Amino acid sequence: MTTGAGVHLTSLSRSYSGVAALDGLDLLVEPGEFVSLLGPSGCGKTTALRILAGLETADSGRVLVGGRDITRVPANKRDMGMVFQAYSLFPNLTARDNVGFGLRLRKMSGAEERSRAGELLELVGLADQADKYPHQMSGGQQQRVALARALAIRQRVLLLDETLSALYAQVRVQLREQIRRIQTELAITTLFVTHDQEEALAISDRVGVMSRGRLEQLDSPGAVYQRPATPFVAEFIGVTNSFSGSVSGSDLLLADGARLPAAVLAEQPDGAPARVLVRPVDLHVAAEGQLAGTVLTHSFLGPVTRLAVRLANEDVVRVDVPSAAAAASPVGAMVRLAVEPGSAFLAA
Amino acid sequence: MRAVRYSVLGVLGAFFLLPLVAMLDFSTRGAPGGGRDFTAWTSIADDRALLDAIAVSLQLSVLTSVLMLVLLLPTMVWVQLRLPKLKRLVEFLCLLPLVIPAVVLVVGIASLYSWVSYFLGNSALTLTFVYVVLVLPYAYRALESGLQAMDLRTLSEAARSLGAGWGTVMLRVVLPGVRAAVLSAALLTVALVLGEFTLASLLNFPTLQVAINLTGKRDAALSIAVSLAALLLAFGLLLVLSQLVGRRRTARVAEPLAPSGGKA
Amino acid sequence: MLPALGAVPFLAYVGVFLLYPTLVVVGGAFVDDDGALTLQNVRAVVGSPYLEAFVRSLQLSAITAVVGAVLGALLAWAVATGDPDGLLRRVVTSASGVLAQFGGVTLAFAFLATVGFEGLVTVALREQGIDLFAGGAWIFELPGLVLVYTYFQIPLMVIVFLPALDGLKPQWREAARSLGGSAWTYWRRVAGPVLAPAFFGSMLLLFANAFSAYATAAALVSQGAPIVPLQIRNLQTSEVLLGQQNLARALGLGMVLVVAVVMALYALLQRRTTRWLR
Repeated sequence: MTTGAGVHLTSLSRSYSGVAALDGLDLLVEPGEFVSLLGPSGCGKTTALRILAGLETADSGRVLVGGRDITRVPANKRDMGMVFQAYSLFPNLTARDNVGFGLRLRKMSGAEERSRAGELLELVGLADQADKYPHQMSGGQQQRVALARALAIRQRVLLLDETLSALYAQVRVQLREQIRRIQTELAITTLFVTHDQEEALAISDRVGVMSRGRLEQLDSPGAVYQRPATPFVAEFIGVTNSFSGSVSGSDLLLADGARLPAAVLAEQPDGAPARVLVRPVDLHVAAEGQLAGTVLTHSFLGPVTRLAVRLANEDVVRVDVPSAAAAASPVGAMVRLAVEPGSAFLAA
Repeated sequence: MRAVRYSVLGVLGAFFLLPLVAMLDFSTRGAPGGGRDFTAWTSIADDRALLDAIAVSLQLSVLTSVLMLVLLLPTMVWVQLRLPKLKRLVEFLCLLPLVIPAVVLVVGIASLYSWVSYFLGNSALTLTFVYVVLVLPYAYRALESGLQAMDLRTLSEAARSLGAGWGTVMLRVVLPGVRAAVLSAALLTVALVLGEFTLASLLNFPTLQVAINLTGKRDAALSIAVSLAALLLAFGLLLVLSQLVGRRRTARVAEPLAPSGGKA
Repeated sequence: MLPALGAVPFLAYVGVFLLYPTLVVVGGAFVDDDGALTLQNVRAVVGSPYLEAFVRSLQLSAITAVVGAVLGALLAWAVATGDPDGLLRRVVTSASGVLAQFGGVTLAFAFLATVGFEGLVTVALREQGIDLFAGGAWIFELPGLVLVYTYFQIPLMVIVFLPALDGLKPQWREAARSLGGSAWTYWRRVAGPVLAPAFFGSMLLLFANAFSAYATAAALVSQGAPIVPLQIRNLQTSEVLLGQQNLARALGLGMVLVVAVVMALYALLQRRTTRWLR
C-alpha cells in the first residue's frame, strides 16, 4: 500500500513578533519511521509540524519530502495527512463522508470513494459508525475517524498534532497502540507532536526532545531515557529528584556534609556549585546509605511503592522500593538512602 | 480576500457614518452663508420637558431593573433547586414576549392600565410593570447563562449543610456567583427602557423617546441634536463596557434574542 | 406543598401583565362590542385596507431581512477575520448593539437629517441638479421604511451572526487544506453548509424584528398607515373607540400569528446550529 517518504527539515527558523519559535531546526526522518517531537509548550514542536504541513511558512530553512524541495508548495498540494488535537471533523458530514472528503477531491468515483472510505473505517475499527455524525460519536471515535480521513488520501507523511491529548487516559493508551499498529503495517512515515513523555517513549522509533526551537536530542526511546544528552533532556524525561551542592572530586557535597556519588561531576572543577538529578528508581533504602531522612508517606503504585522521604536539609525526595519491601520502611521511620552508582545526571 | 474585506468595511462604514454626519450637520446649520450654529445643542439644557423626560426614563430604568431582578432571580433559583418540573413553564413564559410585538401588547394592556392608574395614580413610573414583561426574555437568557455556569445545586447544598438558611444562600452564595449575569441583565434592561417608545407613546407617558419624537414636531434641529447625543452616549457606554468586561461578556450584553423591544 | 408557593409571585405577575393582555387580544379578536362571538373582526382584517397593510408589512420585513442578512453577514465576516480583541471588533459590536436595539425614534431622525427634504444628501444632490423627491415623498412611504429598517437590520445581523462565524473551528479550514481542498472547496463543502442554518435562522429573526417594529415607522410616517403596526396605532388613538378596539385586537392577533410561525422556524434552525457550532 503506502510507502512513506523521508522528511528532511533543514535549519528551519520562525519567529512570531520577535520571539523565536524555531531557531534553526534540523531533522531527518527516514521513510516509514515513526518520530515523536517532545517538549514543553512553546518549544516549537507544533510550529515545526505545521510548517511541514504547509499551514505555516518558515522565515528561513527548507522542507524536503522524498528528496523534493516543497518549501514553497501550498498545503493543499502536499499530500500530507494531518490529525489535529480535537474537533477537526467536519460537523456537517458523516464519518464516511469525512473520510471520503479528500478522495472526492482526487476525482475518485462515488462507488470507489465509498468502498475506500469503508475500508479505512474498518481499519480503525469503526465500520459500524459510518453513518454517524461527529456530534454523535465519542472523542476517541472522532479521533479514529480523523485518522482514517488522514490515511485515506494515501499521504506520503502522516502528521499527528497532539492527537491523543484531549482523550481519557484509557482511550488514549488504546488509540496510541492502534495508531502504532496501523503505522507499522502501512509503513507510513509519521511525525507525532506531544508534550507527554510517556506517550512519546511508548510509541516511537525515535524521540526528538525539543527546547526553545531547537532539537536537544534525537534518539531511540531507550537511549533518551537512559542517556539523556543534555541536562534539559534529563530533567524533562521522568520524575526526578534534584540535589544541589558543590563539586568534590566525583561526589556532590551537600550543605549538611553528606556526600552523594555522581560520576558526571568528575570533570567539573572542585568547589564549583552543581545540581544533579536522580530518578526515584535509582535511590535505594540501605543501611550504609549516604543520605539520612524520615519517611513521610507511602504511595502504592503496584509493583513498586513510592516513598516520600524528608532529608536532614528539609528537602523531600522520592524513592521507589519494591512493594514487598515497603513495610520495612513505615511512615515515620528513619531511613538511610543510597544512590545507584552512575545513575546521577547533571542538571541544567 | 483582504481587498474584499476592506471594501466591505469601507462601503458599510460609509453607509453607517453618513446619517450620523448628516445629523451633526443638520443640528449645527446656521443661517445661509453663516457659520456653524450650536444653539440646538445648547438649548438641550434649557428644554424643561426634555429634561423631565430624561429623569423619568432614568427612574424607569432603575425601577425596572430592580423589579425584574427581585421577581426573576429568586424564582429561577427556586425553580432550579426545588421545582424542576416548572422549569419549562417558566422558560416558556419568559420567552413568550418575543412573539408578542410591543404594539400588540399595548392593545391588550390598555384596559389594564386604566385600572393601574386608578389605584396608583397616572404616573409614568407605572410603565415599570409592563417594561418588566418586555425585558423578561433578555433578562432570563442572561441570568440563565449565569446560573448554568455555576453549580447551583452543589453550592446551595454545601451552604445549607453548613447551616445557612435560604435567605443566606440567596444573598451570600447565589448573588455573588451570578454577579456578572445580574450586571448584564440589568444593563440590557437599562438599554431597553431608555430606548423604549412604543408602549410609552401609545399609553401616553412622557419618556425620553416620546419627548424626542414630540420635539421633532416643533424643532427639528433640537430633536436631531438630542437623537445624536443619545446614540453617541449609548455607543460610548457600550464601548467602555466592552473594554471593562472583555469581549465575551459584551457579546452577551449586546446579544438580542429576537425582535427587540427597544425599537418594537 | 410549601415549595410551590415560591413560584407564586412570578406566576401571578406574569399572569396579570402578560397572559391577561394576551388573552384580551386573542379573545377580543372574536367578539363584538357587546361581547357576543363574531367573526366580523377577522373578516375585516382579511379585507381592504388591512390586508394591504399586512402585505406591505410582509414585503418590508422580507426585503429588509434578506438585504440585512446578506450585508450583515458580510460585515460580520469582515469583523470576524480580524483580531478578536481588536479595536475594530469592539467598535463594530458596540455600534451594532446601539443601532440594533436602541435606535427607534432616533434613527428616523437620522434619516430625516440625511435624506429628508432638507437633509445633507438631498441638499447636496439638489445643488447638482438632482431632485431626490422627483418620484414623490418616498422617504415617508414604504421605500423610506425599507432604507431606515435596513439601517438597524444590518447591525442586528452582525450581533446574531458573529457568534456563528466565531464557532467555525480553524481546524476545519486546515484539515480541508491538508486533504487537498482549496479555499473554495472549504466554503462550499464545510463552512457554507455549517453556517447555513445560522444564516437562515438569523434571517428569520430579522424578519420578525422588522415585522414587530413600531417606533421608527411611527416617528417617520405621521400621515397614512402603510403597515400593520401603524394601522393599530390609528385604531388605538382614534376618537371612535367602540368597535375599533376589537378590530385592533384582531390585527394584533394576526401579527402574533405571523411572528409565532417565524420564531418557531427560527427555534428549529437554532437547534441545528448549536449542534454543529458550539
